[in-house]
Amino acid sequence: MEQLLSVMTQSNAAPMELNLARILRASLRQAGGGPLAGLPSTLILKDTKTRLKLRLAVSPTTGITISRARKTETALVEGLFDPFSGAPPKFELRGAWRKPLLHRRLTRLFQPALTPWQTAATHFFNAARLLDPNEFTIESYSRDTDTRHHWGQGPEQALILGSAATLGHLYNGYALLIDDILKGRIQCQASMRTIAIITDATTENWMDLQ
Amino acid sequence: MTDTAFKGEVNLDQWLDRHHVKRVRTMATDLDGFALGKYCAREKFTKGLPIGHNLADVALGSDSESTPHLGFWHSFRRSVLGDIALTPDLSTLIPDGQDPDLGQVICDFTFLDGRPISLCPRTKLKQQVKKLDDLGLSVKCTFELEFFLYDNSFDDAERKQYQNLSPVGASPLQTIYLLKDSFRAVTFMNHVLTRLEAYGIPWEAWNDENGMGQIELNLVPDEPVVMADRVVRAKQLIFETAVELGLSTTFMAHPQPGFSNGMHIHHSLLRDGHPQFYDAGAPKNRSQLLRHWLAGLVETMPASVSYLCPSVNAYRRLQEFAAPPVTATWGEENKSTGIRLICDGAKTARIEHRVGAGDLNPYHALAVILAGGLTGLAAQQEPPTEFTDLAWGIPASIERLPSDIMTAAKTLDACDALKQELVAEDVEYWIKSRRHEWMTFHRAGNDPDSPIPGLWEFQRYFAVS
Repeated sequence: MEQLLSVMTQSNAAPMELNLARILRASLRQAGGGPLAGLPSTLILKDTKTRLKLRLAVSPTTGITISRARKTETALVEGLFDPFSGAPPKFELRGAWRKPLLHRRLTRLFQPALTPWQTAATHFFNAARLLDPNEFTIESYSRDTDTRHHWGQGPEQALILGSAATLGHLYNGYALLIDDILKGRIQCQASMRTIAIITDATTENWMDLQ
Repeated sequence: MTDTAFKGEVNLDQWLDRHHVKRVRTMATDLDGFALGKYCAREKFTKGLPIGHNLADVALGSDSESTPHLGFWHSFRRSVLGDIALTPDLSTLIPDGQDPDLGQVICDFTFLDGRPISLCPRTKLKQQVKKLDDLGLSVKCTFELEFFLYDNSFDDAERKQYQNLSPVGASPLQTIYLLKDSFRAVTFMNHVLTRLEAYGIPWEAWNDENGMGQIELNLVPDEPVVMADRVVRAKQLIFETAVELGLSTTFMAHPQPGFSNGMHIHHSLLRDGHPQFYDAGAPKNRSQLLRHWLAGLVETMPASVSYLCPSVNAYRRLQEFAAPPVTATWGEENKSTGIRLICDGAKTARIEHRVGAGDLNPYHALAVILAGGLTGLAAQQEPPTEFTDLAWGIPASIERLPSDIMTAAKTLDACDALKQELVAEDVEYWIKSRRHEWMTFHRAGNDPDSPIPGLWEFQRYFAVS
């Protein structure tokens, strides 16, 4: 039976906390409570990009609470948490956490679980209240796997191109369309209005599924 | 346009001649309340009337760094980048006074054919005033402007990354009303007051405020759009005066730990020019209209915080025992509640709304306050029990106002009453613009829980708020 462990964030959680919470929730659902056993009661994570530190209060019976750590607290785990990249966080484990078993546990805990991008896309488009299938026709195409996904039958056309991994991050809710476009990871051919509305939907998906 | 009588002259051209106007500065505020516009040659200005001149539609669809709102949409925007217009309200045309060749005019954002854009903050306020007018009511209101004045120039403040600035004042003590501190600011304030008078903006008083270098300026009440126009002009001329004197000022809501700039808003309702809040025959002299209005204001207060505290920085201000309110409460002569009621006479009875931050957009702030009051009138609500205790440090069971920009946005999103009054599409666009601000703040590596504002906040708000 799946053990329900909570992952709590503050009401004013930053994007990195929200993405981390989602990753942890998915990882805990997959593996039950096992990964938390044997971990220290507190983990301090440091994002090497923004230098912000997060404190994870770990309870093997109830779950994890994520909050902002004080600047003076030493980081046990450092990594990249860029919430907009959609890429899995990368970590360097320090001190006692070099032990291979703990390293594996932490790596597994922080590893986002992605559903196949077409499955995630179907779910995303059906759940996105901002998108009307009678207004939009959206085609997504993965260039590296030559796979496609169609949604809608409306007159407003949009073509979204990217790698399967990038599309996976986008439709699984770990990334935002406009950010992927601006960083050159995704091309999107559509009117400015259509791009804005799809981006709005991906942002809502990203924020609401935490 | 130039053939009709204008401000006592035969026509606009004659008025421009009499005031030696060779250039006209147009001015409108964007969603964040920042003053935007152009300097136009007189011929260009008059030729464009009555619609005015073009500007990119992203002027109303971008953030304070002109980053376009690419991630959400409003129907006023074009499917590709396009233009909208700044339409002058010629009743606001005045000579600058300082620059002998310059005229100034307040504008509305409009479509290229002159139709109003509902999202425009000034238009939004006009919509609410019109609804009250339809009920036979008018509003008299004023703002309390708080700002910090530093001996450092804006350039110097930027070089110092806004740290260790020298506040104008004689005393290192954070004393309010201290005349020695006020005297140190007299030269600056006399320049400001002279320009206010030249603009036709009557003022009541100014004083040294609690923060070091902090000044409060009170303006004479008037009707809402006129009053909001005056606030925008006053903020601009305070900035300009500081630049000319080699000083710096900021309306940023929370530039230093412990002290914040608020912008309290006083208002009352009138019918046929007669005040309506005071009723000598009613319990505690509170008229039925006042009670209904008050009920709407309190009910919508949590949702209105998003407009009253527009920036990430503004939420650092809402702290217990730090002077700003933290609860949706009201009380007579109670300065710790969200609303302070003054009901001591027919002519002076008014509501002081104390939630607003120094960086608020005056059009939005008044619009959301009037919209809240209108919901109370429509529902004929009675207000919740008056809060007679100190509204700080109270049990957590009494709900607090939203404490960050995203919680405030979500609270507004859940308020159907305000969305209906303020046009749902416009409110939703505003909410998404706050989401954009929140994400931009976090992407820059900032911490909302830190007691000290980060450099990102100073760079974004110090000079332009």
